Amino acid sequence: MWTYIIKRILISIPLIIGLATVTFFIIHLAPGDPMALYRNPDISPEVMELMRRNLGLDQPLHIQYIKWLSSMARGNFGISFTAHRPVLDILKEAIPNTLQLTFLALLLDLIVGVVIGVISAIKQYTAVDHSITVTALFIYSMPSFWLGLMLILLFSLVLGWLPASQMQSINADLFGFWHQLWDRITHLIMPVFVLGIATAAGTARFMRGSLLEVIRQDYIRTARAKGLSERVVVFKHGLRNALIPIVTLTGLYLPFLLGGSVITETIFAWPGMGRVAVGAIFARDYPVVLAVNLIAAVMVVMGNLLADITYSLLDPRIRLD
Amino acid sequence: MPEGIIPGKRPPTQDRRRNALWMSVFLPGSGLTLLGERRLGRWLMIAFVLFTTFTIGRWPSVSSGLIRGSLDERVAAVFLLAVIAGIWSFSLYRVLRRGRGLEDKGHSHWEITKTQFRKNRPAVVGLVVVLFLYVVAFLSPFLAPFDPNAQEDIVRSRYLPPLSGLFQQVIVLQNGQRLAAEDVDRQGDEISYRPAIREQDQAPAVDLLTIDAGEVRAVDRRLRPGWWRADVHWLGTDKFGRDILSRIIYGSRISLSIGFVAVGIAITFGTFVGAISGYYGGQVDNIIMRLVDMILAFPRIFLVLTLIALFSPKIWLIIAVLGATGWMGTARLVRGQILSLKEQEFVQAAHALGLKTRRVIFRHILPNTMAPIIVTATLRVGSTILVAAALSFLGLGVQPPTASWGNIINQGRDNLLGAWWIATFPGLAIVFTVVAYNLFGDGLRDALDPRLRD
Repeated sequence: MWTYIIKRILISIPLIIGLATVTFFIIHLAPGDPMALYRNPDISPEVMELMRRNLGLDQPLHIQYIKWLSSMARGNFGISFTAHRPVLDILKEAIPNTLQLTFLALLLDLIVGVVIGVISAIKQYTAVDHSITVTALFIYSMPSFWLGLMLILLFSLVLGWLPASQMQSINADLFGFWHQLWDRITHLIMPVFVLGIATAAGTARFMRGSLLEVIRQDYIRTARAKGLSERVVVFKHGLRNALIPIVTLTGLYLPFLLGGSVITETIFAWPGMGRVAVGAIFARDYPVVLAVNLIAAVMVVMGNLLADITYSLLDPRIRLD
Repeated sequence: MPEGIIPGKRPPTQDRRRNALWMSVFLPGSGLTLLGERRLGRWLMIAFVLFTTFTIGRWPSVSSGLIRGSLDERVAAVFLLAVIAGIWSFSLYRVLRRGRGLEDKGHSHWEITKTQFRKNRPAVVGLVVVLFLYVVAFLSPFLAPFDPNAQEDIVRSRYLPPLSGLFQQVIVLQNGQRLAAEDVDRQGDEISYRPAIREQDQAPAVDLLTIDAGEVRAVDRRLRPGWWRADVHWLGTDKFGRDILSRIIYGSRISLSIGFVAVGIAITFGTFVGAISGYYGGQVDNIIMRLVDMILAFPRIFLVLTLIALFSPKIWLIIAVLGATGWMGTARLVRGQILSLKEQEFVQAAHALGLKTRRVIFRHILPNTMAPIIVTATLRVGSTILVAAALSFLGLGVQPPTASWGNIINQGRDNLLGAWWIATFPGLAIVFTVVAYNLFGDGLRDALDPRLRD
């Protein structure tokens, strides 16, 4: 099993380097001069040239690439063109916020998705199953930004129960610990819901199908023949096997969660990686765009790696590969 | 069993066939019901009647659109007439073939799939809704009550709620007289109002009249006379006074075309790449699959945003980028299918006959892989529409003033509580479109799956 894990890890490394290369060349082969931001009739051309040299933009492309790759490896992502701060600092502030959202959304996805999927499978073809299937379909088909807006409209503007944006209230620093915690929770509810519910709907559908397929297997029939109660048969034997593909599915959902965070953070003004990315893209802030793209891709690769390893732990048939 | 011969019934007589033919000339579909194809006949009749009444009812706009209209209007008019002509000729064709007993209620793969699909009610509904959306998109110049960019008199028409113009307030006086009024307001002992306009083209009355409150018995509401003459804002207006329903109808064209074309490009390219990768195997396969893995690692939105923001957001670029980021799934699918089919005997036989590689791929292997590809394509249109809407929402899609569903929702953010209708209705349109595509795709997948056959 260890060989499997090590092999997978080793394959990821050239993948990540390849990702960095792809990102770099996409950004730099585009029209649009990053120096255009600084273009100003007062600044003489010599100063512009100096700035360009300073930012390293005058070097030929492959030299820029090698320099960038080597400083990347050391963790130096450069300086943001618009914020004039090291990109690493910007990311260090933003990524934990995004991780909060993504992690909780993943939790929502797994818990709600599995539970609803199991209920739907157990009560197959009843009214409960049909209504769950229809609801899941509708949720699955909603644009997340629209869902977010509608929730804000309902819960913040009309009912006033939940705050509409940001991570905490303005006067949060003055709160005691429990009040702050509660404040944080109320700010988290809607973004996490918007981010996670669509994947939860997908997981529920998949879980239902997976469990139904597992129930038809011969070993389930054997378990029933042995005289075990239906509950034990379904939950102990059936569910365990049906959950295994969910691991892979969750790994597949990671890019969607990270991408979904772009929209969700924009709607809820959540200070995370997605909002930073959108701002940087609009402002042609190349270092930040490069860094964010790369980090997102690396997170996905790691997530898939984790999913693969977990899968091999759960399913002995894979390890012999 | 050849048609015309329905088990238990006698074949149609010469007379019946002639009647069916003549009936089909005047009312397509009626003849088919006579010959035993009742369901198809009914649908054709309904469709024909709907389209013809629409054309006749809107004949002035249709004819002027055809002759002097813009490209949109010409396309819409031609589409309308083509659909009517198509229904008519298809009905005649079917009647003639049925009459001669030529249509076989066969059991080919396609026939079985069609039968299974028809049993799946939600899937059929999905298909009907999808077709309806395309019809609406093509006929939008004739269906939209207002011009999507027309602002009219902004002061009076901005931020109107849904169903504006439908109702009219009526002041009922003690002596039984009824006054049609607008802006009825009560201030203390007096009730002020503006007399409602009677004719469509009249300018609204500016003077505020007042009545003593004691003279008024009640204030009623009734349908404004002539409300069907298309100046009701069914879904309200936006910040600039533009009708939301018309904008949604015109916006559907953008969403549907982006969805269709982008997925078409993605599927074509993906099939091509997957076929090469699967058939040749070895290093080529390795390199291609590594590339696929790399691109798949990026969240799609990041890639699309980056690529579109690097150039300017034009509709063809959006379609190209969406296509370029969506081909990977199809490539993997096709590759997998080809890998499994490569070892089967019919491929070896084709080789033994001396057929070239390319021919083997395209004419022998690919047709067997079509089914899952089509299902994937249908399901992907839904997600492509969602991504395109998100793009428009962020400001990187079609630019205003062109209406696109994401655009309208973005503009609705400004006044979310006060003018909730601007953000709500385009979102509902997106939801129903994507739901319809998903139902259709799921139904197609279940119909093609041999394990689910009854």
